[in-house]
Amino acid sequence: MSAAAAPGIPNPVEAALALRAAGRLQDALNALGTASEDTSDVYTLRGEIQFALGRVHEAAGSYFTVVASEPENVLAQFNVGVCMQQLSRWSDAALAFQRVLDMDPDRDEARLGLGACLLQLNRPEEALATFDACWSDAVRRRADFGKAVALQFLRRFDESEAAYREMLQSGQQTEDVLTNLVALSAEIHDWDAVQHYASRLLEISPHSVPAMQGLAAVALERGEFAAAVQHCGRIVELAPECMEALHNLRFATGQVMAAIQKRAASQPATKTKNSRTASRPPH
Amino acid sequence: MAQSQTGDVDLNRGDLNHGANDAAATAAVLSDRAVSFRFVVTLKCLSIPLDSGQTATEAPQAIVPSERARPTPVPVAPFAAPSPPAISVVVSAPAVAPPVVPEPSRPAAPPDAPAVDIASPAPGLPWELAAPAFRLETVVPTVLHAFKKPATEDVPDGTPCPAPETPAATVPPMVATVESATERPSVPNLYTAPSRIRKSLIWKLGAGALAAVAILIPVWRQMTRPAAHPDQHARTSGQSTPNGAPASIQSGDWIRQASVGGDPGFQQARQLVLYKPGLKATDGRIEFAWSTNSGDVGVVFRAKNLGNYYAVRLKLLNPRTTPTLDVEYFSVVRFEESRHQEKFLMLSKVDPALLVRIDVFGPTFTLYLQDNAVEYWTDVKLTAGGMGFFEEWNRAPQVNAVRISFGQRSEFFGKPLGDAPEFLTRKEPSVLARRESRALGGS
Repeated sequence: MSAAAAPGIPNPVEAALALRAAGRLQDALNALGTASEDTSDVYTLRGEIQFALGRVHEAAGSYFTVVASEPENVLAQFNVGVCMQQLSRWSDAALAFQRVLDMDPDRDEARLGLGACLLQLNRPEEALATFDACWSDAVRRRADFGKAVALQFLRRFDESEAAYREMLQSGQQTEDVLTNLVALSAEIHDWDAVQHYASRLLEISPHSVPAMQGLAAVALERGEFAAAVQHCGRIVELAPECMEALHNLRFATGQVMAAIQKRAASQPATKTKNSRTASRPPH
Repeated sequence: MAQSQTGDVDLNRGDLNHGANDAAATAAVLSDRAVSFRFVVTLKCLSIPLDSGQTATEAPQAIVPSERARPTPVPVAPFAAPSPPAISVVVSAPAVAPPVVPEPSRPAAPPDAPAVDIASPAPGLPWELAAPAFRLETVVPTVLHAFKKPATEDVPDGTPCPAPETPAATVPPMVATVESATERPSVPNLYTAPSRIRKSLIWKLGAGALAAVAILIPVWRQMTRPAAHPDQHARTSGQSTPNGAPASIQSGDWIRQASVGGDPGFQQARQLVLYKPGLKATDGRIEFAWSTNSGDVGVVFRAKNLGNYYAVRLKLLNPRTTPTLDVEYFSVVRFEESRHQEKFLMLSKVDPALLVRIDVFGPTFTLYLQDNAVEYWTDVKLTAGGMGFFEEWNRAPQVNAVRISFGQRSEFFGKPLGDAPEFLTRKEPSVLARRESRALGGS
């Protein structure tokens, strides 16, 4: 259905807004195509709709177009960063966020994005400084989380764990915090901690693959192969692409089978010995 | 909206050399031993949504507008980056002082009372206000002009406002310092008194005016108080505030508009006091010194009319025990008032005068207290409009050293003052220079 079908809507931009509000994103995009003037507003709205449709590449193009003609358009520059982040183009995203901050140093959302990109680019020190610079309450919790991750990447495990625990106590992002605590504890081979955090994570997220990975790792480390088989089997069900789980399932199953065979092999000998003893006539 | 981001990071990477880890894992898989899991560090919490503002909530209103809503020609705002203003307007003490009028309800401060001087901006700020230093000593209501011009004035969207009365000769090119003159006094409680140096001249020149004002004040106060006469509404355009005051009063560079039936804030008897020359401004800044013991202060910006504006209210709580500042902001768009957002700031002490500043850049609004940024938020629904104050229940706080600046992109100041007759005309939205780049956007 075209935008013209909407009665009483005088121009394509308003028609697109109306269609978008009605959830007809593709129609909204088509309506924008009829706009006589390609203003930055049109491109901005187009980018927004394209992003909502999951067409992130196209959305990035739309925002790039705005930035090309209005380099100081903070909104478009910010959205370029978001699109680049979605596309895992961390360097480009970081550059866009940095430009936003150059123009508007108070924009903490951009600072948060920049910090995340720096973490992805394995520049945790700069990321830590970036998160530290966040000042508004709106991003405070996420900035704290980013700082904890940066500390974890910097192998400052004690500080990182303390930061995570503080977040746990205040009930912030519990699932993500526990996920990272499992990883952190596994990194330092603190298997008791891995089991503790993985069990907590499993309580709040029964299908958490990291939690099962943690429990499986603990089971393998302790030689509890039956439990390892159980956990690895669950991982393979939920994440078939996890090759480690597949291998460990095979390995743990082999260990269990070997134990069974060993037990079975030892049992006849014992039984034979016992039977021989039993068959001897009493003196 | 597809906003989910995969933020997982392989913890075992050490660096970005994933190949070595993969090779090791492969080797381990091929061997007959358990392999270590590759735990990931999730960054999902750090995902950032697209900055689309509240346009999603705006759209339904565009479909079914309220009775008084005016369609916005450009629904998505062209957001300008903050840029140093090429022009600055300072609303300050009058160059030629008006007669000093003792406020009936609030005695004027003595001439040597502590003054708040915020004329010099903090060094290093992107804004360099081209304003002369000025010193304000007290706040004196002046109602003479308001009474002379009681005509109701609506500020409809898109209606050109009259040109400012600033003489062009006093405004240097690209830098204008507009100061209130005698014939353009401000509205009550927003007007500044003359300096002590000029006081003798004031009394000489304003003795006659003082007598006239002394007569007019009781009349004016009667007019702004709850209606005592049923026919009082006839003096206005037929609409009146809950307390019977005129719906709109023009006073020099300021315009006061009172909520009438159906307007947001009508229940609170809300009134907007807007700086008239900047009614079409897009970006800008308002700063003032707020006397914290004088009650709540409300600031409005991007105010088109009584149904479209952003508002911030500062309220001091527990000033003697645990002084806390309640920062409350909300928007009124298409005559619908949004939910009020609140933030509480603990203060170590209560300053008698608090320097308040609000920067309005594109969709971003930043609140500064004592030159420290304390809150910022974004909203894209309104792109242009005036700045000023709002009052409720006729409670007017004391504010000194009011300064309003506008950015370079403000339409009002975008043209030389010689083009005054058309300087408020609506400009067409800017067209992108690279029209051929449309292909980049797809669709």
